[in-house]
Amino acid sequence: MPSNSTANPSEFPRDNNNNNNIINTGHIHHQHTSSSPPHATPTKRRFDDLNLNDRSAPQQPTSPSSSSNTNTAYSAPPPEEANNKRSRSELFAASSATHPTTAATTTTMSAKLKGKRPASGPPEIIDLTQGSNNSAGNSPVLASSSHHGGGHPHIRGPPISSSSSHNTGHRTSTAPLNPKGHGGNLNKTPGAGRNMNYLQTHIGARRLVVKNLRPVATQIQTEEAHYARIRGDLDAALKAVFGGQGAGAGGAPAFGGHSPSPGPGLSRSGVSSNNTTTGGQPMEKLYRGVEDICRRGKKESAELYEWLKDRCKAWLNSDEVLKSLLAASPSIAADRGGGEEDVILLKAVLSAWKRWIAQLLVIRWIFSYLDRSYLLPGGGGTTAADGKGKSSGATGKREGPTSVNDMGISAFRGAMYSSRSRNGANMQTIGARVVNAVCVLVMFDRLDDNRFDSQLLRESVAMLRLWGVYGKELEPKFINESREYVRRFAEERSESCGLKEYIDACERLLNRESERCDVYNFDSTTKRQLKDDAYQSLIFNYAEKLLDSGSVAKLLDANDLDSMKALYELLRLSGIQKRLKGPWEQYIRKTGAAIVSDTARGDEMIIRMLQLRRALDVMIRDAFCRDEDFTYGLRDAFGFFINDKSVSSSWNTGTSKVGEMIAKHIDMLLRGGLKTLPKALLSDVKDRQDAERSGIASTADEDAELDRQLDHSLELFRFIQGKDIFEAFYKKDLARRLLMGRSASRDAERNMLAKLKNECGSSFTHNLEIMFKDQELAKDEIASYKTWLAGRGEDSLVAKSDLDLSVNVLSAAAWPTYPDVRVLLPQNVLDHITTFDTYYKSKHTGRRLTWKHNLAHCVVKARFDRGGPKELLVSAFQAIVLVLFNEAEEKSPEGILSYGQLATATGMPDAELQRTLQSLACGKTRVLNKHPKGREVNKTDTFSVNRSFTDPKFRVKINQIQLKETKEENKETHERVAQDRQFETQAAIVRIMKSRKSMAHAQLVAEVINQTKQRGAVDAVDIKANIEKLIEKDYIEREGGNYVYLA
Amino acid sequence: MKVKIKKWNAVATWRWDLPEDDVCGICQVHFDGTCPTCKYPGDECSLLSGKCGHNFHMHCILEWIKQDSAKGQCPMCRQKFEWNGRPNATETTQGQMLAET
Repeated sequence: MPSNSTANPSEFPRDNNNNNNIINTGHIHHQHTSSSPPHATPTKRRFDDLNLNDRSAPQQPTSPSSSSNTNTAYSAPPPEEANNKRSRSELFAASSATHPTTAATTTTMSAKLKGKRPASGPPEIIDLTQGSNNSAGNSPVLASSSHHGGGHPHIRGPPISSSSSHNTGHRTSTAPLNPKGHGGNLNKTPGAGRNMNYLQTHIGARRLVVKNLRPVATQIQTEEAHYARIRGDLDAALKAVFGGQGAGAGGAPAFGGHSPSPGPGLSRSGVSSNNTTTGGQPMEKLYRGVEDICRRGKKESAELYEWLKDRCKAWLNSDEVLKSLLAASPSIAADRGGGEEDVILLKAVLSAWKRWIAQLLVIRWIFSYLDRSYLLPGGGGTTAADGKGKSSGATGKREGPTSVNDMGISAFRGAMYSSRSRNGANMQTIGARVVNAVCVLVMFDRLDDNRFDSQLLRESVAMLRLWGVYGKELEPKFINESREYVRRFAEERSESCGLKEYIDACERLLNRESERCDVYNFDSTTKRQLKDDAYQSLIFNYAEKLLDSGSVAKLLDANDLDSMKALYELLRLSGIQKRLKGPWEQYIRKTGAAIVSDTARGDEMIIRMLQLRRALDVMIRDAFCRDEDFTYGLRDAFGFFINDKSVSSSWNTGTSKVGEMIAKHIDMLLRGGLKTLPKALLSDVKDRQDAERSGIASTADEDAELDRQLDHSLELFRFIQGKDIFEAFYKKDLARRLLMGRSASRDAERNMLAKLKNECGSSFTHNLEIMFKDQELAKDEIASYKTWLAGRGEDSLVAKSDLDLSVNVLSAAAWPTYPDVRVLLPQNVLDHITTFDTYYKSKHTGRRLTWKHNLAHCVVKARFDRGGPKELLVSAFQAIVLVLFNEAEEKSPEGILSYGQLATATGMPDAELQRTLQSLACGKTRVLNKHPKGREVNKTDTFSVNRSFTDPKFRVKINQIQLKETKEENKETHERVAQDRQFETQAAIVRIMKSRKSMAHAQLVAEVINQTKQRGAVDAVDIKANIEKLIEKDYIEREGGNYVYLA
Repeated sequence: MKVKIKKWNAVATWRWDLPEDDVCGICQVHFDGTCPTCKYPGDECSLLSGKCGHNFHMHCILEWIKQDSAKGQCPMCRQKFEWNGRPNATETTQGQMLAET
């Protein structure tokens, strides 16, 4: 800058033609900028200057048109200058020329810096006379200035806001007024050739001296006075702002409502209309006052800030504010309990807070400049105010001055926490009581107290959050109180309610707490902590109650899906849902064991088990979110009760009754018993969706449903450890289905076989496959027999007989063993059979056929007197008996045959004959009459044909008795299985010993059990007996404590 | 009432015409069962009885005779194993095959 100013004078002469350039160097620049806005209100400007008597000059010369941008742009340097202690004189004191025509005030001079001047020293003397020619020296400069001024008729004074002393300088500089008008100079200069030397650089005036410069002795005082006045104004304004609320809360908010955009942008009308609020001064003026102070220096800014802070604090701590608060909460209300007096206080505080916020807004408007310069982070206060703040890093920012808004808030908070008020016996700060009141409000809400005020609560929480005490004060207290509340709640409820009610109550409570947190804007962390606490007290601490197996069993028994779901969800919140598995399994075991050991309802065993299973599956699916653990638990429990020997001991079979029952259940399904299943067992839509997802039959048709039902049964089957019993019964049932042609669907049979093969391996189903194969072979056999018969043609009796014979030839090894029953067949049947026998033996040498007449069944055509012709589906035995009556009727019209006669004629054993006669004479369909009547068949009874037999159907089935398994059969099967187990056990022992060579007893037993578990393990005692047997047979021997395998 | 049997579904089981509970001397499986390589008993896995009176699964004894160490002898009695001919077509051809080997 000095270089510029020194250069200027010398440049003038040289550049006469190009004045602008010259002038534009150095500080003229400011002029230029300042004058660049369009010519506006010069008169006003003038008026301001005069009116304010030099002191209003610092007040920003705001031509309304000069935007704030312009202001800052050109006002930025002055503070700098002030700092640099060279201000006024450096400037070409282009005064505030009002109008080109008046042109009275403009004096331009080339200034030369005369060294540095003390801070508030008088302006430099600019010696205008120093040039070689005073007037001549003046004129070019003047010309340039005026030339410039020609473009911009009113050349402003230097940025007046920079310093009040400008005016003085300006005034002095106007002293040697050039009497000539602008225009004259302008015209004159270009032509002034004699001045040419003057215009040359480096010659001419080195220094401008203003003559008649009045010493500016009063400058400092005027400055100070100016600031003092500003302070005064601000003070008054603050008072008004604070007072505004005293007069009525309407004042301040109304102000805010009036002009929503604070700061310098305020319209003049807005300010003037609110003059009363700001203590008589227009808001804009106050704003400028603040700006002036701030521009003056950081020290002043800091002082202003401190002052403002003190004022705010003082106001807030004044009786006016606090007393009114305390008055609002009479401590006498304390005995009403429930913390209501705190709530009243809270209301008062909240309204005071709202007022304060409104006031603070106005303050912020006024002190906006402070906010934006000095208090701006990194702008003024924080960087320069104290190096301390800077050095302390991140925390320094907090220690330093904060924005006006923050300051206001913290001042309010300080007030709330500094003063204590009486609350009962305790002295508490208002702040603490406010926090307390919030908690009380929440409690009101919890207890559905009508004193609850949701608006108040929401605003209070927001207020505390603004205070910055949310996390420090409110949260811990709130959490504590909530914890206590929940704890009490849990205590009460757990004692008075059953599990179901408790679960409901807990669920409701948690929902409400969580909702409240959301609605009233509590922090998410608060919410989480609150919920965690609640889980702890509601669930974790009462886990025993929640997990009480008795009450859980009750819920499960009632199939209470909703409660179980709620219970599961509750437990999951605490992460202890896995502990529900204990009661879950216990329940299943108990219920399952009850089902298995219920001998009275043995036939329903599997149905009930499936129902249980289904209910539990649905429970897992719908209530436990398909929790795998519970599925495992379910399986464990099922496996346990199904295989528990003590459970099935009530059946006295020695082997698993469940296996038998499952086999029978499947038999029922495959015979087409799907329709007899209870509805609950059938799959629903959800099941079908699952099925579709896993790629198995998913349609709702019967085949698919049957398939699913078979799967369900197999799932039970999987739990069984002694699968041999299932196999035995399944085989028996399958044989019966195949031989009697009772299978509902061949496909389903095959399907089931495939499932079993998958489940148990091919050795398990080997025999079953042979059975199917035999069936196919039998068909071929009969076909070839018939062609063979036709080809022979000689045996007319058999060939011409209209008896249709079909034979199932079975591989003895694969099928269940059937007892041989000797009977005397009717002659024509016997002929047929003998023929077939011959045929078969001739075709397959080395084979022997054993006829199993007890498995044979036939169609008998009968004509009844009343019922007409009927086809009776009967067993072979029944047919044999019925045929006998043909002959009896021939002999005597009554056709009575005694038991003895029948016995000799049929040659059947008593048991079979009795069963047969019973089925014919005592069953549902009675084709025979028994004399005397009765259910049991005695050896003394006589029988005759029931001539009045009728039946709505043409084909009458009477052979169900054949399908039914007798008790003896059942027992025999069980025994056989038990026997097989012994062999299996021995085989296992030998296998193990062969591989291990030497083994201790306990080890061997464990290993044997392990190996035979799938097929059916025997007791340790039996294993020992089998070991003994093997020792006898010299397979193994004892050596020391071990068994040794003998090769 | 006059009854007439229209259809008779008889059931019979077949066994090899041998003493019961006899097992194949080679595979130790019941004759009613199959040799270890077969699945279905009957024609698919028939028996072969030698003149020495010993019976085996056909597959088993054929496998045995193939071995050089067998020297064409019955594994049970070390006599020359000859098929005890019976009027059965399939078995005859097999017997001839056996004799040829």
